[in-house]
Amino acid sequence: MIQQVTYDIDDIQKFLELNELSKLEECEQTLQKLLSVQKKISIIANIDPEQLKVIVDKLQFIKYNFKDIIIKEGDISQEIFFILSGECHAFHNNKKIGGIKAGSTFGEAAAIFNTKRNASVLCSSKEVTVLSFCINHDNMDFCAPALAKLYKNLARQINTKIEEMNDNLVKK
Amino acid sequence: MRIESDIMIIMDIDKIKDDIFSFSDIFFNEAFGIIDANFDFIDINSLIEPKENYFSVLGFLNTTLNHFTNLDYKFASSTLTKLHRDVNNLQKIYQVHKEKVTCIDEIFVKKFLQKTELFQDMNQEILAINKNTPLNDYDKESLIIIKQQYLQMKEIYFEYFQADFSAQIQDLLRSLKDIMNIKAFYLDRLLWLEANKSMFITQQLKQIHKTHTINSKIYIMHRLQIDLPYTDEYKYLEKCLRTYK
Repeated sequence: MIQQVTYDIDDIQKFLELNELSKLEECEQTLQKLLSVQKKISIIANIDPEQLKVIVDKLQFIKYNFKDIIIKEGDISQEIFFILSGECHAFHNNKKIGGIKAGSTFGEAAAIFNTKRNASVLCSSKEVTVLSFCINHDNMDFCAPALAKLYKNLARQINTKIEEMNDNLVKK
Repeated sequence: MRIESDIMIIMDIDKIKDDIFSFSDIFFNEAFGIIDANFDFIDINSLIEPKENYFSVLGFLNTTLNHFTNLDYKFASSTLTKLHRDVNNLQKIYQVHKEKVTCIDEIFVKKFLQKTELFQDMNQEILAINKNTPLNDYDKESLIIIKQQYLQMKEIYFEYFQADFSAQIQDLLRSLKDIMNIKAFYLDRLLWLEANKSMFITQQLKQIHKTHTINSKIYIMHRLQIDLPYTDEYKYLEKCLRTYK
């Protein structure tokens, strides 16, 4: 018979402190990872790294497998996604409307205009690695230039997509 | 007649399963009780489940903690001491049950057969007949039949027992491993948090890292620089380093 160890309130407090420290550490690691690949990500490439740390929130590097749903049409969420590797397909009303390749961004419209997701995005390659983040507007006062650059980059992305759609319409 | 004999077999199998279930329930009661209590504790306090394999660095954490205690016997808080004891206890339970995998047949003979009514009755019957000395022909024949039945039943029971027992042990070991992985993660964090606060330990560690706080990764990398390569300890540390990458 092995005597079980019992923890008191002080011990549990320490565990909770370690939880907080681990989350901070993980957050810092993710930020460092982001900064190491920042130049490769068009929508944030020209933003000052120190300001970038402040304007991005809920930063995550996520891996999806084939057929995984990354965003679902009609959902309300604020994340912007950047594909680091792999490919995705976008669906609207259950019809495929296009492919999204590595180096592309998606989900920015719902994030900027605060609307429902207008398409579903599914992983179409064996594996997809995405960077997802939300825009943090809390520090607008001292990060205005960085936010302006981010919005300009996102607007450029949206514009590119519209131009592609126009080209496709003309071809049809 | 055919239907009746089929029903008899089904009933017997149910009885076998019931007997094994009753035995396992008591045999694993303490270990599964500990596992349930641990998972409850992890759930209630929202402890983090690490992605890395901290279970494999338990030996390293153990040695490091003992080494640091030698440098500064006061460095470990009561929480760290408790956590260390807790992880050691879990390791003991893990080891004890891991060894049981290799001696299923022994447990079956020494524990299960002794406690199962059917085999107890058969044993009694054999002993009772043996008391009649000298044995007459009927006794001798009865003995042969009972012993045959005993061996047949033993064989059938063992087949079911082995399957159930192995599954239970594997489940138990897996759960213990998951719990230890989580607790080892906290042991690692708390160990370095407290070691970095100890004057005696940091003085020793200053040679390793002058500016930042030390963690397992930095410490192992230092050890790999000074330890002799190709030794078992060196290889183990190399393996540990993979957890922290």
